[in-house]
This record gives sequence, C-alpha cells and structure tokens, in this order.
Amino acid sequence: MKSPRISLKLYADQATVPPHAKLVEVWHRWIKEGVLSELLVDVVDYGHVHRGPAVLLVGHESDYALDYGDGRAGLLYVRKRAPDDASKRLEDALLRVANAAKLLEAEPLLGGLKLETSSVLLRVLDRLNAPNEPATWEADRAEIERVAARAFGEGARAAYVAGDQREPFTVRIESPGQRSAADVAAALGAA
Amino acid sequence: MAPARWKDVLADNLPEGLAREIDIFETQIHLRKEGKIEEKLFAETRLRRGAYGQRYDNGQRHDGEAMRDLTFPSGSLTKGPVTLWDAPGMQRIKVPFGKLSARQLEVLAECAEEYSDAILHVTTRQDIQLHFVHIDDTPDMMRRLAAVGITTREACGNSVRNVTACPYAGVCNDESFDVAPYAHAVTYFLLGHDDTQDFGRKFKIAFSGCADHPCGLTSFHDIGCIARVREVDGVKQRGFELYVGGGLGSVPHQAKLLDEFVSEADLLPTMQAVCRLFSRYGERENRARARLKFVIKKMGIEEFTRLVREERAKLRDDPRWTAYLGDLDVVREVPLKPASKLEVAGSAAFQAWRRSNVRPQAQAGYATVTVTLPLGDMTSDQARSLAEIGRTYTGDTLRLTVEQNFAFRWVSEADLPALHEALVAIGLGEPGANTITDITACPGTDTCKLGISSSRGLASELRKRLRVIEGDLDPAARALHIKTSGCFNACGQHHAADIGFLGVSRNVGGRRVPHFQVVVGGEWTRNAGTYGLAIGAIPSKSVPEMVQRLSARFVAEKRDGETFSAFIQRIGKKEVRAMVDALSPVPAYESDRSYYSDWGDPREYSIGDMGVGECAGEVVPYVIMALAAAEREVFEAQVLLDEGKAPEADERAFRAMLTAARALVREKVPDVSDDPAEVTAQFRSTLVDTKLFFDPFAGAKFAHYFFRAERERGAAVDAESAHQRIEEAQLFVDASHQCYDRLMESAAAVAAS
Ligand code: SF4
Repeated sequence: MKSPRISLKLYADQATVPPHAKLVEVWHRWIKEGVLSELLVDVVDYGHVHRGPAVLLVGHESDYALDYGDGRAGLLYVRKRAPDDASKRLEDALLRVANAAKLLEAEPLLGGLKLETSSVLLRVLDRLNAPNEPATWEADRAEIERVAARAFGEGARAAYVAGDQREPFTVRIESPGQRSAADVAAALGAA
Repeated sequence: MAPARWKDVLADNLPEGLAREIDIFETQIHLRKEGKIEEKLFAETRLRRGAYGQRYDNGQRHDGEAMRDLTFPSGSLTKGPVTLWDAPGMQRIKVPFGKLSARQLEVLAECAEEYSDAILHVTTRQDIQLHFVHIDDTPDMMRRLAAVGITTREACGNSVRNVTACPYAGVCNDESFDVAPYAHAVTYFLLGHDDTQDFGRKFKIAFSGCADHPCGLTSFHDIGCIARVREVDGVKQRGFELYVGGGLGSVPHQAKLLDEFVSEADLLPTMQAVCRLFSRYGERENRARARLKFVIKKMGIEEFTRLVREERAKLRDDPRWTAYLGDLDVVREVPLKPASKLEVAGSAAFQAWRRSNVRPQAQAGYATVTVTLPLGDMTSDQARSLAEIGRTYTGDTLRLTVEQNFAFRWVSEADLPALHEALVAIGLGEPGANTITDITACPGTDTCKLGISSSRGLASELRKRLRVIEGDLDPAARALHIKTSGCFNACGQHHAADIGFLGVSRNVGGRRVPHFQVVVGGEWTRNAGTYGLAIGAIPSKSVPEMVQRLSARFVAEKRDGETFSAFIQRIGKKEVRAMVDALSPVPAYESDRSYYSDWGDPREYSIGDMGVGECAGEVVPYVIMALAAAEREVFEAQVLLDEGKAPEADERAFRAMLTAARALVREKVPDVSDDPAEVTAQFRSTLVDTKLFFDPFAGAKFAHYFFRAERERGAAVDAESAHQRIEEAQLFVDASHQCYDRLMESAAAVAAS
C-alpha cells in the first residue's frame, strides 16, 4: 500500500469488553515487561470521550486502542511508522493487531475478552495518498484481497465502503471462517 | 512510486509568507538531523512553531518500579536539550479568540486523525492541542492548516501567544462593543512583528467586552483589554481600559491599570510600546522572573506607565495602526437562518440542557449554544460532526472557549431542539456548561513534562462522580467552578476557581504519594477578581471527598446571595484548614495501596522500589515534622493576612521558609543554628550551589524566593506583597519536600552501592 498509515479494527464480543481500568493496568504492564516487539511509550485513559479511543496504548511505530469509534467496541490498531516495503505494510499491520488481540484474549485480568475476526475495518489515515475514492480501491484492491485471503482464509471478501471524501479511505474485510486472532497471527507468520 | 507530498499539492493554496516559513522550518529539521543546527536553537525554532515537548521525551519513563529507558530508533539525536527526536510531542495550534470555520475544524480533525491520536484538545487559551505528534510530521500538518488560514507560528516559545477573547463577543448583552475585530487586528499586527521577537518569556493578551463578567479573564494576562465607550462632545468613542502585568503561574499577579481609556486608534501602538519595554527590561537569565509582571513589580506601575507613554511617543508612524479600523467587519458573522422564537418547551433533558448551555444573544431570536467538552476533548469524528452541524444551523460561527468548551453562535432559537438532538447523537448533548461538572484541567501528568499529579485523572473522576448526583445538587453547589492544575504553573487556572486543586507530592513513610493543594477563596467572576490561596495538601484520592464536604457545607451554611469566596472569607481559612487536616492522613502502604497511585494510573506513584534506608531513618522524622511545621506557618500567615496584618503575615511566611530550609540544611550541617543569616548561607552553599535544592525545570527559582524574603525583611509590606510572599512560601515548602525526596534517594543509592 502506498501509505503507511494503516488502521485496522477487530470488533469485540460486546459482552466480553473489560472495564477500562483493567485494560489500563494490563497495558501499563505490557510497557513494563516489553510484551510487544515494538517500542511502547504510554497509556492514556480517554474514557470520558464518546465513541472514541477509550484507552490508548501509545507506541512509536503503532498505537493500540480499545475503541468505540463506530459505535462498537473493538481493538483499534494504527500504524504510524511502517516498513519501507509498501507490499509488506498491510500484512505487517494485520499481523501486529492479530498478535495483540491474541495476547489480550489471554490476559487473565481481562476476564475473557473475545476479539472477532469475521469483520475487520481497514482504514488508511492518509487523505493525500489514499483519498476516499474508488481509484484508491482499484489501486489497493489486489493487495488487500491477497493479504485478506492469507490472513482469514480463501472465503475472505473485501469491499470498499464508499463515503464522504472527507472521511478516510475505508474497506471492510468479511470472512465466514471465524479464524481466531491467534489463527490469523499464525497464518501471517507470528513467532 | 513515491508518495505524494502536501508541499506540492498545496503549493498554490498557501499564502506565500506562510509557505516560506514552513519550508524554512522543514529545512531546519533537516539541518538539525545532520547536526548542523545547535539543539537549543532548534528547540526555540520548534517552539515558535508550536511544536512542544511532551512527557517522557527525555527517553525515560518510570514504570512504577524503576526508571526505564525508551529506546527510540533515532538514538541520541535530539530536538532540544534532553528531548529525543523520535519522542512524541505536542503540537499547539493557535486559534485567535477561538474563532473557527467549519472547514477549519474539519482540517483540524483530519490532522488529529492522521498525525495524532484522533483527539482534539481545547486549551484554556482557546488553542487546540494535538498530542503524540512526531516532529517529522509537523511541516505537512502546518501546511494543511495554513491552507485554511491557521498558523501555528508563535504558539509556544518566547512570543505573543494566542490572543484570547470572550466567546460571546459580538453577541453578548453586556458588552460595550464587539472586541473580536480588535483581537484579530492585534493578533496579526504582533505576529512576527520585529518588536516581539526578542522576548525573554511568553506574552499573553486577552480581550473582554465588559468588566464584570468573567469570560475575557483579562486580570491574569500580560495585557488585558476591556472594551469601553466614552462620550466626548456628544460623540461616542470606542477604546479600551488597559491592564498590564497580570499572570497566574507559580505566583499569580493581578494585572494593574495602565490606562483608563486607550482609544481604538491608539490600541496597536500602545501594545507595541508595551512589547518594546518588555523586550528591553524583561529578565533574560532567570526564566522564573522573566514575565512582564516582574518588570512591573520591580519598577512600579507608575514608572512603567510613564515609560510606555514615552515609548509610544517615540514610535515611528505605522499605517497598520489604524488601517484595520476601516475593516472592522473582517470577522463579522452572517447568520445562516433568520431569527425565530422557540415555541415548544421540549423534553426534560432539553430543558436541562437549555438552562445551562444556551444563552440568548443580544440579537433577538438568536442564541449561543455551549457544547460541553469533557476535559476539553473531542474526537476527530465529533469535530467533523460539529462542523457539519454548524453548516446546517449556523454557518461559520464556531468558537472555542476559555473553559475548554465549544460554542455555536447565531443559532436561530426555533432550531435549538433539533440542534440539541444532533449533539446528543454524537454524545455532546450533555447539560452542565460552566457548572460544577464542567471541570477545567490542564494536561498534568498525562502528557505534560512538568506535571506532578494527574489533574486530568482527578478531573475525570470528579466529573464522573458529580454527574451521578448532578440532578440532586443544590443550585448553589451546581454553580461552583472547579479547576485543576498538575503543578504550580497553574495552566488549569486553579487560582480563579471556587475550588481549585494544584498537584504536589508528599513523602509518606518513604514513599511518594500524589497530593493536591486545596485552593479556595478565588473567583471566576469579576474577571477573576480574586485569586485563591492554597490551604493545605491532601492525598489525590481524598479530593472527591473534599469537594463533597466543601460543597455540602457551602449549601448548608451560606447566607442569601453569598458567593463561595465570600463564604470562605466569612467562615475563615482556619475552618477550611480543619477540613483539610481531617482529610490529610494517608493510610499505611500495607493497608491501602490505592493512595500510592494517582487517578487513572495504576503505576505506583511513590518511590516504591526504595526501602527506607537506615542512613535516612534517623533524619526522616525530624525533616517530616519540620516541613509540616513550615506548612502550618504558611497557613498561619494566611490567617494573619485575612486579619489585615500584612507585615506579620509576610514575616510568618518568611519564617515558614526558614523552618523548611533549616530542616534540610540540618541534613548536611547537623549543628546549624536557627539564625536566619546562618541558615540562609548554609542553605545556599550546601543545597543550592550543589544543585540538591534544584527543580529540574524551574531550576533554583524557589530557592530565590527564600533568599529574597530574607533580604527584604523589614521592608514595607502591603496586602498584595504579603499575598505573594505567602504563595512563594508555599511553593518553597513544596520544593523542600521534593528536595527531601532527592536526599533520600541519593542516600539510598549510596547505601545500595
Ligand atoms: S500546570 Fe503544570 S502540569 Fe499542568 S500543563 Fe501547566 S506545566 Fe503542565
């Protein structure tokens, strides 16, 4: 993909969303213990904002958030600085979010948070290099479909979500196979 | 294919001057990366473009157990002293008097989404701040903002900061006239002006349409302008009552009257003259005493006024001084809808919201709607929606407020229910603007490098609790203003609140515990006519209980029409102090660890990994007792001042500093006497010269409060100078606590080695 600013959201099973304070605690511990193989900087509690990143884990390369952005809770991943190889960007972002989801699901403190992969929201936060228009979809479609099939299985389908040009370029990836986050991470080559 | 660049795309859309400035900044970024610009110079350059540092940008973060390195890929490359290149920073964006168009708001939302964390934070000076921004992204962001007429130039650094004004300017029933065109003229006249480029410190200007109501808050600005109309020979003239030398910060000063009436034609040159004097006489070496308030304090307002007149007379004529008067419509707003009358009562929720968030305008049939932004935050999605709501109902009549809220002006009254519904749909339809739930908070430890306690965490917790009981609150309690600052710099404007909180830390049993000083007696009304004073510190976790007790007592005991500050004055600070004392105990770490973390942050706040070293064991009780005694003396000084005994209050404040200083000196020189001259000399040589009594950011500022107090003993004292001395004594005692912590840390390190 032309732009490195890729955002991906895995939705949570709404009944399993933990209290924000628990996630704050977990993410502080992740920083302390270096749980992810990337530089993490801080945790911010934005629980007071409506439909936003309620808890944010800020990193150098990426941010992670418990996000309510489109009215549903989920794990939002935002890639800020990415590999130079444009063909690796989406795959790399997807691997990171799947890996983080897998780790969150395994956190005892979060009491069984479940993150689904059957519907994933992909947005590119770069209006210059990825304007929200069909031409961007045409340019990135093959790449998105290739990575989606690899991550979620051959039944995965990606569709451009046409919308206002002021909004970021948005694609929804649906897959019937119900792979777990751990499966997705494994499929993409997580260690 | 190489990615497209905003520089190329916007080349034809940017005003030439702005485009060039940003290109230069981008070049400086490259030069700094190549080591061709010295870091201090780059830091000032960056600050002047609004790109500020943020917590942990020195590459170190305490995780509750130990300090750990954040290893950024750029290694040792810095963007300023002890500020790593890759560390996330804050971008401050000036919005003169808070005025925004719908398109500008959308671009701000886009920038927040693409370069920050999709949160736009409104500050108490009508700026927008974006956090966690990488310095490499700033030139493009600045270009996108410049393309819609927004500059970040001089948003930080030693410059004229965002010019603020009442958000109701032009639509207010009380104002003399609309101050917005004047604020606009001053903004662009002083932006980049030769006479404002050599300041030793920042410079803040505010406008108010009237003297009585607080939205302009002119009393704590370097220049405060209050609109006045006078009649000469039957002709009405517009002008301003001009105040100078106000400021909050560690030691707040009320601005002093410079001139009762500066005509509109003389406004810009008078400001220019003040700026030139500030450049000339402002302190350069000691940042802590570099604001205009200290220049005026030193020379006196009479002499300063004389110099301003003299300087004004010497200025060479500039056509811009009056050219703007021919274009006062430059910021005029055109309502989108015709005026109308609201015929329906609406739902209970609508009525509650209308009572607190809707204000009728001077223009019949129109209202201004305040949108309460929790902690001053909105998401990019919300910002886009607000822009769209603006397009639907009001046009480009949007404002940011100094209470960290957002306002739609020129709402045709019949549209109020629909507009409320639209706000509810984006989670911004809550009532409570300018009430006890609408808490002002500075960034504090969330993102600010200087934060001591979590002002936002506290504000969030208070808000959560107060909203639950909001409906049952007595109107007098509901009307209270709460403001929180994470440290003595007072960015949360806690002095100008009914109940203010100021972050400090305390050592309890060898561990740090986040605390807040309780500040009462201040006023938001009368242009923040009185500043509150700190009564004593309580643990952060006890603050909600303090708010509950103070507000309940006010409701139970207040007399008819009595304000909160008058109530505090009447019952006396001793009473408040007793309430503070009742909440000051901290449970032992073993019995309740929650006190040892701050709001919203589970990391242990105290130096939890440090045992109580044997070497410090004997000394700890004495120092703690002495520092507590010093705090008590500060409080006694306040009581003396309230009793009208300014000289005694001044002396008691000095004694408080002496007590604290001696307690620390005794660590190094056990047989030090209590002779002030000896304590002062020993304090200087053992603690200040050795940089043990040294704030990482304020340097030796607090020590100088003590030295000056010692020098000035016996000099004439009035209520104002005694008030300042008390503030300084409180800060000195707080700094003594910090120093003591450091002494303990180094003692423990020696013991461990
Ligand atoms: S008051 Fe202190 S903590 Fe708050 S923003 Fe200002 S400097 Fe930072």
